[in-house]
Amino acid sequence: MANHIVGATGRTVTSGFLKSVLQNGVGRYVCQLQRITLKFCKASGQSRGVRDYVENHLLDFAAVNPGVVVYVTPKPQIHARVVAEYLNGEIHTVFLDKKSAEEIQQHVQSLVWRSGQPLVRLRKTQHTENPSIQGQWTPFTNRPSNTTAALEEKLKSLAK
Amino acid sequence: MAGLGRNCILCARKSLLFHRSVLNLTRIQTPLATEVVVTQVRGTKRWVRPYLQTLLNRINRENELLGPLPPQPRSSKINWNYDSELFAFGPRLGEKLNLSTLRAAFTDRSYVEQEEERRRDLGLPQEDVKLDMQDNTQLAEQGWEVTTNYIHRFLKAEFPLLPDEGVKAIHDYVTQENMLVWIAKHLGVKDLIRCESFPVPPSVTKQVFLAIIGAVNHDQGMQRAEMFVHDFVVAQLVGKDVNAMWDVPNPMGMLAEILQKEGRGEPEPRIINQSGVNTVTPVFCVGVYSDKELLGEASGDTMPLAVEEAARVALANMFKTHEGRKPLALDTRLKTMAEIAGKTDYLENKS
Repeated sequence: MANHIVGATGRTVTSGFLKSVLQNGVGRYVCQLQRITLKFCKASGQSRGVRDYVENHLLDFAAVNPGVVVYVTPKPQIHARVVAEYLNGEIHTVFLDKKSAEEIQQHVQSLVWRSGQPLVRLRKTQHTENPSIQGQWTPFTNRPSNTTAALEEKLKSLAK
Repeated sequence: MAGLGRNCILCARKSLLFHRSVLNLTRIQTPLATEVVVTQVRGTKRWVRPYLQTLLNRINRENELLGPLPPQPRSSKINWNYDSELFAFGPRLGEKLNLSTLRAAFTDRSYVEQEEERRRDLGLPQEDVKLDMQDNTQLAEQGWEVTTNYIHRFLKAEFPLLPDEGVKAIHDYVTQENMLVWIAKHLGVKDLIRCESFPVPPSVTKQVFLAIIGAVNHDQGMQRAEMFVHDFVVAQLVGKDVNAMWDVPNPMGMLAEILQKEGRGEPEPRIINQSGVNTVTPVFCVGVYSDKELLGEASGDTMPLAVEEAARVALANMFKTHEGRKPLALDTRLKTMAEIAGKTDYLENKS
């Protein structure tokens, strides 16, 4: 699938944490896929699945996703592919040679669901910006306070 | 133009093929008087690699001389249809917008002027030069009014104890130009703007974003526009420290003033804890008291710093903007769910 990272072993791939774009979903959800461009050959056998997809499934896709602009660009002798452009400016390409219409449907759907962030190896499946509600522990936490009269006088003068 | 020379290596390969075909043609069309026999030799074409290398060197040299290509607008690409993009903008955000209103919202004044100038240069009669094209000035004004009113109202409801200056500071933070441009960029506004200059200046992007809020207000009414502001602008406060947005120059003075107004004793900073006083990394933990009641505590490298910080914490505690307060009521669904479960106390900033 499109979400698979090739060579995702250990340190070879950039790692990161889950993040959202523009606090998406706090108010309302905005599909991050802005436009897709289907590029394929009109004659090649390798593009057969894409042609099938364009003829039978593309109109349904456009009707379900009115917020995604769809461009269809036939071009002779090229590798069939779908180019997805996201709201954050990222561009992802999925090659569709020798894929059936159903497979292409799945690929395109996975493009719709993505946030457009570059694919990274996730270090954890959850993330928070505020790890502790109580605050960070310090050596003074839960320790009785002591007072020094001399220092108090000093502080009083500082406060004035 | 340096177009040909600045193409990629693939294009260089294409031009190579082109050169070869021309070469062949000339050979066929104009035979020399003496008989020339061109024989194809099969084998390794040892001239290909130096030829490509020469082309690549030329590309690299030109790139070095001219620098990187300037940014191009998205509309310069072949797969671009302004009407389709405009149509998709409304459904993407879940708004039913009139296309003509939207077109006006995306049109900057400079674009209209540029078009009129172009028509004048073409020598059209004076009455035809004037364009019947709406720009976004009026919509942006409406949008700004809705935005500023709603954000003020929201913040007043969320932080009822915070003084007006503090509310204004948070409002200014969330409606600053950088923030609005950032939001607009992530809603797909950037490519659709019709403006004289490219790259689009941030002030224009800000105006266009406000005009879109104005367009929602115009087409769908005030409530919808306020929901728009709530979902996209106010939502940027998530995870931000509101205390950092308001810079109080003299927190201890302000604290004293407020306490005096309430008829309480004047603030008294006291050392609660300290460590490493005679080292290069001392730490002082200071609490601010009034009538023997702890208002806030903080630590710092030096005593004046710790005192000031403790006063800030005391102020935040008084205004209920302290760390660990209840989250902003941004998710309306959360609110309804809490109402259903009878747990509204959780959402209100009572503690």
